[in-house]
Amino acid sequence: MTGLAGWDLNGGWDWAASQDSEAVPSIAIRLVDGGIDPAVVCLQPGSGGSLVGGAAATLAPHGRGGGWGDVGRPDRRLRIADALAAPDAFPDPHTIDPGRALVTALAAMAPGARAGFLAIPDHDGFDEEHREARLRRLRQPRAPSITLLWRPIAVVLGWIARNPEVALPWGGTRVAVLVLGAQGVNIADMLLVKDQGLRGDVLAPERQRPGVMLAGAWAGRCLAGHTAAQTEIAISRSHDGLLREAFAERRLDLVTQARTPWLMASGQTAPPEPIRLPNGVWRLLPKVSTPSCRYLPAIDPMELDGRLTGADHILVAGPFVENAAWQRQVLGALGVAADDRRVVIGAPSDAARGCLEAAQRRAQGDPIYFDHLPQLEINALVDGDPKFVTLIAKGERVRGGQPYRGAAASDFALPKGASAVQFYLIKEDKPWPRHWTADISANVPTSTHELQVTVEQEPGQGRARVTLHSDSYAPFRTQPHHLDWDTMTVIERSRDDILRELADAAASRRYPNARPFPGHGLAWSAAPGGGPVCEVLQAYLDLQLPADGRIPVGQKRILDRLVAAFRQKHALAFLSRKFGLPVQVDEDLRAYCLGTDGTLPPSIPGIDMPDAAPVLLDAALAKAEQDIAALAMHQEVPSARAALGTLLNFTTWCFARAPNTTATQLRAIADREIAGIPTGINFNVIFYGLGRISDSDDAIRAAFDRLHRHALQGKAKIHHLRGIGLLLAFRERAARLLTPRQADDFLRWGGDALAGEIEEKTYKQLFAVLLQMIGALCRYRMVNPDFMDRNTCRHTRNIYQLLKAANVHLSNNNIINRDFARFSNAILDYIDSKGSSPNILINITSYT
Amino acid sequence: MPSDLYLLPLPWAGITYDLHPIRAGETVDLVPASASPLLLVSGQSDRVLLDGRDGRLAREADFPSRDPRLGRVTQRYLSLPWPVRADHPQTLRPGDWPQSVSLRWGTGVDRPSLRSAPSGQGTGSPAAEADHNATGQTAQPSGGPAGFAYQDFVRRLIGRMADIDTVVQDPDHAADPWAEVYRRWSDFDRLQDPHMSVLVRHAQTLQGLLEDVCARPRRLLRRVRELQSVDRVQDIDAQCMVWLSRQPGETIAERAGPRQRILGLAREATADTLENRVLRDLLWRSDRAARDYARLHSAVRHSQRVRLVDRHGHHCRLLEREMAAMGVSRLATPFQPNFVLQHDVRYRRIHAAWLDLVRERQVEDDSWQWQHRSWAEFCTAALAAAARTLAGHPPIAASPVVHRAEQSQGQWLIHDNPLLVAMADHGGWILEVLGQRAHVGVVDRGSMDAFGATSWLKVDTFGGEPARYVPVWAIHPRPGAPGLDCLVAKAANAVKSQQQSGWPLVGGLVLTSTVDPQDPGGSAARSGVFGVSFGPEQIQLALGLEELGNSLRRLVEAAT
Repeated sequence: MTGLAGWDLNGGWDWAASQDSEAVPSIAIRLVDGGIDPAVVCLQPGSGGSLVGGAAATLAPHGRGGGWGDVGRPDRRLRIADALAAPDAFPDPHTIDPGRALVTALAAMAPGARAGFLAIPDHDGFDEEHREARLRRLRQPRAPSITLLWRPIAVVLGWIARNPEVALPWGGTRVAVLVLGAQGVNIADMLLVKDQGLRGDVLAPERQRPGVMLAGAWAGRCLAGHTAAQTEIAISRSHDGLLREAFAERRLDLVTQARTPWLMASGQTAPPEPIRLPNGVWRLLPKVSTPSCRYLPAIDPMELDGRLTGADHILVAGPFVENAAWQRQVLGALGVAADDRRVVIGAPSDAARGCLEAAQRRAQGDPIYFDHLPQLEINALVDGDPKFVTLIAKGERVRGGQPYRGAAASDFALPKGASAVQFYLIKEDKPWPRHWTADISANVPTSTHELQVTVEQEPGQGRARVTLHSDSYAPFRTQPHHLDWDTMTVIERSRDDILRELADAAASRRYPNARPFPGHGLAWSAAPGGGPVCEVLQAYLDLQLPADGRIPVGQKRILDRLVAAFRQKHALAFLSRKFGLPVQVDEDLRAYCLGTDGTLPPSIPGIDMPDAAPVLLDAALAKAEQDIAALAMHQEVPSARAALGTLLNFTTWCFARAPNTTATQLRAIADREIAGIPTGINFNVIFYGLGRISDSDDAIRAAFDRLHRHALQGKAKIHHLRGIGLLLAFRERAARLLTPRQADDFLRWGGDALAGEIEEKTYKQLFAVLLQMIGALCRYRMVNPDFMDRNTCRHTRNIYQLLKAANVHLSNNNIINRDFARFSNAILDYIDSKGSSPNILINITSYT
Repeated sequence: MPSDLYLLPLPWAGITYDLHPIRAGETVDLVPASASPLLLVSGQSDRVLLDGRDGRLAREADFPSRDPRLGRVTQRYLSLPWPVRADHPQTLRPGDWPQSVSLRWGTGVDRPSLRSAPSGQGTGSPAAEADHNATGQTAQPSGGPAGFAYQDFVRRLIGRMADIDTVVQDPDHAADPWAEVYRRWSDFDRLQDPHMSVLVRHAQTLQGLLEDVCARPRRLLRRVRELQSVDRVQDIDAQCMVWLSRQPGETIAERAGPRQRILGLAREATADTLENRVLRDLLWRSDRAARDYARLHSAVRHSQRVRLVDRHGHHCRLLEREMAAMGVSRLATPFQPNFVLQHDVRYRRIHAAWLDLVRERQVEDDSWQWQHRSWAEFCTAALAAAARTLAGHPPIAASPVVHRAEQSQGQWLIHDNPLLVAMADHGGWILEVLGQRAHVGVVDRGSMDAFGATSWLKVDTFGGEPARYVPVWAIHPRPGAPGLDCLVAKAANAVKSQQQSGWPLVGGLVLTSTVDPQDPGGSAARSGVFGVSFGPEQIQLALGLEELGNSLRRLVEAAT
């Protein structure tokens, strides 16, 4: 015998169907009865004996009780029902291994079969883990290659194969299947669709949802137990003392040691059965009537969910279908009338026949059935944002009996320098996502590699296999990685949480953070010339500027002090030593009075922020606003013009706290400068100032526009670069407000300025400004992930090489600020998208 | 105290105390009356060495001694293997004996050697035989006609056991295999297709290859020294120069003598290589095996398979003569396969085929040695088939049967006991067939293993009476052994004595083998003990099964 077979191992009445020759599939189909209450027995266990299954085992005396002597020991017989339900544990060497038992039963019923389908129940309780375990158990030496098939589907296929003429008009109808099994009644419904086959149309069921299993009293084995109980009652009333005694002491169990209960439960005629009592004496079991109907619990119609009511045909099959009384009772309990014309009665062997039909259809390439796979998603970067993309789409209709192969719609990449690769999978039918990570630190990729993520899953079989493969990355090319759901870590977090975390993780390596640069309380104690800043503010508030705009020298000095107090970036360690305060700060840390978001610094131990400070500051800004307006009237007076510039400067150093009118004025001044009308205001005030005060989206956009336009007219100077750097470095949203043109130009200017700076090898303020600006420009990758790609962008490549060269010089020279080398390295990392110093922008400002 | 060793001329001698004690150092002649010799070891030693090796005797049963004089000593029955050569004595030594005993089988039969032909069938080529004998191989003494008859008997037994294999492999008969076995065995008319063997496979697959290799055998250029004309010499070696130096004369021309010839190296093609010797041996063995096959299946000599093998044998015979004419000598065993035999595309298959035939011969050697145990197992199977037929409907229980790929001390089947439990239609009796190692016992009297039975029948009723037993002795007699009537009479005496001492015996069954396929067999009965003589040949077996059924019916009737 060659080739194909179909098996229905159900533990009630096993059947197999096999095909003698592959040449003529329609003939020579052989149905093999594996026995009622099938089992596998062990022959001569002492001398390495063998297992025997099939009908021969049903007939065997093995495990039938102590009356048979050693042969009757219970461990010599393993019932198929127990083998199917056995937990997936370490095999016990003293008992029959369930896996070997199942394979033995398969081989006994279809010897020589090399491949085939095995029927499995269709309900949520028999999920992917169970199916995976079943397949694993059947993977044994010399075992046929097994594909699983839903039993209701198999029953329909088997019935169609037996009655092709009757079934033909069933195309397009809904069929409900009732499988009366040993473990319960399995109910499923499906749509029969006509599809093109090799030799004309074939009917293929489409499984649109999982079936339900009614267990408990609905199980066929309870029926056998019921018959056994009735027999025992008859025995207890009999006059045979020996028989009565054996049963009274419970030394005999009819369900496992006799055949009659099972024969009667499956509707067969049972001749009086001789049974061996534990002392070896033979007795005939008393005859009992066919089991009367059992109590079946009422069914919640919700549970069936219209499976029966919506069906055009109801096919009843399974190992207990020939028990007419049971069949009627089940139908009645499910609310199907006895004379319902939809009901069709199948045969116990239909599932096996259907499994063979499936195997034959697969061999011919015909559709077997259609199924829907549970949705499977994997995380990927889509336009720079992590998202979950579908590997298997929701409700994807796939052909049964064939593996479904799919690939994620997105591109996956293994980034340069990555030391680990990680993925999250989300399955539709599982509550929590799972996480997989692999250490690739032994083979750190030296460039970015494309990664192919494919999925393969066969409906009704085990799990989806997700495979990672790369054509260019050697370790993944030679040995593709598989994501194994079982070994993946369960992550008890929602999909959004994971995405957020992924977004943060991905972004943090591509660009640094932009957070407001904070002020420091110490600075409020150290106004220029000594004394607290509040005094300076108070002095300005007390100041009455002359109405004609001619500012006396004394007043000018007060104004200058005011500006200086806020412009000054104090070395904090120096201040703390100067005031003898126990404030522990880093030696080189510097700070302004105010944060770049205009907020006052919090109190620090030893120095309380003066309570009056916010009030004084706001009052000073309001006064400055008025004074500026007043001074603007006297532009012709040089001292007024100077004072106007000074006051403007003061407001800009209050950063985002500056009054709106100042911003308007500055923009107007900048526009005039762009138009070529000199205003006499220092460019540092205008352009750097714009950078300092712009806080709202519109203001930032406008500031970028002025900075860009003005710099385009000549050469980008330090005040432009400072303004750009400050906006990008300390305003979270600024990078998103850049236009592509601006971003490119800023990058180019940065590169040009850097070239000049490095040529001189002086490494002064401008170098720090450039580092900050270039680092901050990386944040434009939020908008364009490909921005500043060293492989494609000439300017970035240029900057990269310049910084590399600078690094060599910086690391060999300890006179220059020693932090420069560190900063420049950090910026180089960010250009390579593997940055690890998220606060680098703040640090540059703090330490320079 | 060293163990005692006894020889049992008849299997039931253990219960009638008709034992021949064996003493260390003596030589024992097995008389033909000892139909199938059993050894009884009584004492501590748990091993008996045969020809100096352990584990070569088959353990039949262990049981506590029933002889009150011996006390509670463990006794053991051991089966001796049939010797391949009847005149080669076997040496036996229990583990705790200082000296061994020598056992001579005397008038036993020899396993026919490969080189001997059965009388009256001398169709072999005398030339080839002469050639084989001439090349230095000692001609083995022929097994004689009896040897061939026994060999064919063993092959037929193997064929019958293969029938069981076919049935148990077929899932359609899994629920009732013995009915199908009975059907196959009792079928008079159906001419059985001769069994598939290595030879049939060779005949189907090797023809083209053999022809090809024989037409173009692999040749070697051999360097030989010979006198050649001076002007033709191309190659000389040191030995040639020594020869030259010893010739009289000054110059080469003088040394070359009047015929002007000197010793030089010449190359000569030869086919006499190891691989061609293996090829010739394969052809010769195939020829012999084909003749055996044809003789064994002479009843179906017109079947396609026999004709194919016959043609193959004839072909091989011709090719073998051709090889001999080419100068290929006979194979001197043992040898190490050379590179050509292992890796050449053509010769690799030749070597594999040769190994197949040699191995089959070895398997047959094993089967020869344990033929009496094979017969016992065959009888158990025949009893199961007959019991199934007697009951008339499927058994109420039967042990599954697995056919071994290779026999183990004569046994082909793996099964547990009872092999079969059959119940009468009217429920009057339950008959169990218990095979070897059944360890039959009676609750209050102990083990019945001392009976030396090869299988047992157990008859039960629902009435509550204790079960009654029938010991079955399967005897495979050597030529000159006592006939069935004599054996049945002796067995009847033994059974009667045991019945009188209270053992629940119904009677006995003696099953002897008929080695000659023409012998129709027979039956005998004496006071409750029945004897059937039959064999594995078609008609013998059909008649024998019928006779077995009759005996079973009478035994069951006697029991109930």
